[in-house]
Amino acid sequence: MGYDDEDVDRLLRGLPSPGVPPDGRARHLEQLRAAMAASAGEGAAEPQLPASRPRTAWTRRRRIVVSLSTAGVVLVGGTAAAAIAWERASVRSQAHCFPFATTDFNNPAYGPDTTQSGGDSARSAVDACRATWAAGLISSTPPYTGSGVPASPPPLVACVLPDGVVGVFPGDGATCGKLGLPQSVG
Amino acid sequence: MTTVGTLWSRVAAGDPAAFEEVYIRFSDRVHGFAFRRSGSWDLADEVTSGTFLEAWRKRAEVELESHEDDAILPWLLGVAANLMRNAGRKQQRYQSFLAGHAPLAVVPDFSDDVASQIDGQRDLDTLRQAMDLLGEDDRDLLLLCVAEGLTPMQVATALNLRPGTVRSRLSRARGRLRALLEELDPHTDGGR
Repeated sequence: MGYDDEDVDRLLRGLPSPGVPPDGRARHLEQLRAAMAASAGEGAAEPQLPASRPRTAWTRRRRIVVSLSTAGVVLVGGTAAAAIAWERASVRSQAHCFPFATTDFNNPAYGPDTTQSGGDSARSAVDACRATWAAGLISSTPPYTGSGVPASPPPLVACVLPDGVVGVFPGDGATCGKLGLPQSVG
Repeated sequence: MTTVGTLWSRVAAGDPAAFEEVYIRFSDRVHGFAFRRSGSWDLADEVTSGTFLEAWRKRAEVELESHEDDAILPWLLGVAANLMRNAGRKQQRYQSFLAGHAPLAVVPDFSDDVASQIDGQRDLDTLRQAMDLLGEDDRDLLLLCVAEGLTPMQVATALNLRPGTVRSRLSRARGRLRALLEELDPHTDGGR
């Protein structure tokens, strides 16, 4: 397939462009107020550029169900019929590998417990779970713990679970939406 | 609703409430642009904050060139683009240092694995790789003109160029991006 100018423009317009997440908005306003107060009080005070947002500390996955994070959700119209909801996981250094697409997110019987993803992106989470599948430590059939015999991993997709951890499920780009979850990005 | 021109004249006079209103109106656009360009939540966050801090610092120097509702937007996006260029260079120097001064590998921030699942996602991944390989000038031009929908005049304001230069460079940038997409797309001869 070749590309023409219309294809290029369509792809560029399809790049996710989320607004400021609510927590970021509150923090920015706080920084701006401090800068404005400093310049009003001293005249010559220069605002300092902020450091990067502190990353969430590594914490063990809590087996409780909480409401969906209010972090920024992006709706992207792609070439697929349905829009995809994207979200950034709030806990990014670990992932939970599921043996099949399920909404029973807290059932300890499904696959191994949380895996350290070894990175802070959706890609790292999928890689970590793929390694678990490849080592035969997880299986799509009961008892789901796998036989320990190396196997070929199925296609996997990273979603954001209600408690902010990445959940990696067998499936494709439509799987997260079917489970009522946003797809993990970034 | 207060016009941006009126709002900005209050900002220039040092009115904090007016500046908060400017932030509320335009921060999502600045963040969206920064995310489109970088694919990084952290960088988009940092750049958005930095853009508005810079806007406050330079409030008295900014002169709006039109009375349109989004008249300040091109200037804000121009500041954001500059901040991202600086952040990118800093990151590149750091990565090169970590890699023992080896050339920086292109690592897309989006999930390769997810992106391979459906066509739309694959396109997104290919586009991000191609954008990473484009020069910064081309990248900013394409995103501001096409993705953000600014007019050539507005882009000229944002990037400190002449409108005619914007038009001619845009055409060449599209061509370069198209060539890169064809080269990287696994379903074309270039990607095989």
